Amino acid sequence: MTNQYLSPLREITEPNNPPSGIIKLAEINDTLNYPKRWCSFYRQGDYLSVVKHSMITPNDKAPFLSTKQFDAPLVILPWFIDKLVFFRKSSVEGGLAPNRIATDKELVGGEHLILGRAMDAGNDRREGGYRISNLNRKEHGSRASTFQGLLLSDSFLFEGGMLDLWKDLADKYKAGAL
Amino acid sequence: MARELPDSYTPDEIAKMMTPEFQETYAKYYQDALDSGMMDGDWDTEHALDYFKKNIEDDELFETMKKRLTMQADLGNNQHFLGNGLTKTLLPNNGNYGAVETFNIERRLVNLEQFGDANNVSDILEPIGN
Repeated sequence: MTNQYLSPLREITEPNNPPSGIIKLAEINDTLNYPKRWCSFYRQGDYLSVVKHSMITPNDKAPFLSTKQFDAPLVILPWFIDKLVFFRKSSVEGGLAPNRIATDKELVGGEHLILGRAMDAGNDRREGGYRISNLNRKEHGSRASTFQGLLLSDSFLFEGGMLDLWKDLADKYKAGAL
Repeated sequence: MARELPDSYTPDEIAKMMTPEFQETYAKYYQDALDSGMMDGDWDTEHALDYFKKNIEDDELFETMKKRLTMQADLGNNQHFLGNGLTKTLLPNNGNYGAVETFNIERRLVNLEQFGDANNVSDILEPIGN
C-alpha cells in the first residue's frame, strides 16, 4: 500500500492556543477513564482537527504535553454518525456485512476514511471501541510514515459524552452554523 | 489479518511484525515504557507511543513499533503475544505456555453461549516444540 498523502494541515501543539485562523470548537475530557486526558475539536477552514492531549510525567523527568492530531474534511462530522449506525446494524437490517470488522475505505470529502472496530481501545476496562483512519493524512510530527487514526473507546463514546458532542457538531455543520 | 483489514495493514507490515524476534523487541520496549512511568497501565498504548517516540532512535524500527501499537489496540494482541498459537503463561514455575491463543473479533459483545450450536472450531493447529 502506497499512501498518497495530502499536504499537511497545520499542527496544533498548544491546544488552548491554536495558531491564528484555527477556531476551537469544543473540548471534552474522558471522565470515565482518563479525566486528565482531553480531546479538543478545531476548525481549519474546510477541515476538522481533533487533538487528544494530556500531560505525561515520566519517572524522575520533567512533565511534558503529549498531543495527537487527527485531521479530515468537516463532512466527517455527519459521516461518522451515519457510519456508526451502519456499522452497528446487522447485515440483515442493511448494516455492515457479516464477518467484517472495518468498513471499506470510502471517499469522504476527497479523503479515504475507514471506520473499524478496535478490540482493546486502551483503557483499564479492556473494552472495545472504534478507530477512524484517514489513509490520506500522515501523522503530524512523526518520523513514521503511518497514516492518522482516532481511537475512541465505547465508554467514552456512548457514556462519556463523546458521541453526543460529535452529534452536536454534526448538526451545527449541517445547519451551516459551525 | 491482511484479509480482514486490507487497507490498514499491508502484507509487508504484517510479515515484519509477526516474527518471534520482532515480538521480543516489542515486549522489551513495552516493558521499558511501563517502567518509565509514562503509561497509566499496560492497556495504555497511546502513551506507550510517546515513550517509543522519545526512546527509539531508528526510524524504521520506530515506524514498525508504532504500527504494532495500533495493531494491539485494533486486535488485542498485547506485548505478551507469542504468535505460535499459544498464550504465554505469566505464572511462575508453570511452564512456558498457557491456553490456546484466540482472537475475538466482534462488533457487538455476545456471550459465547448465545451462539449455541453455531460454534465452528476449525482444527488447524500444528504441534509446536517438544
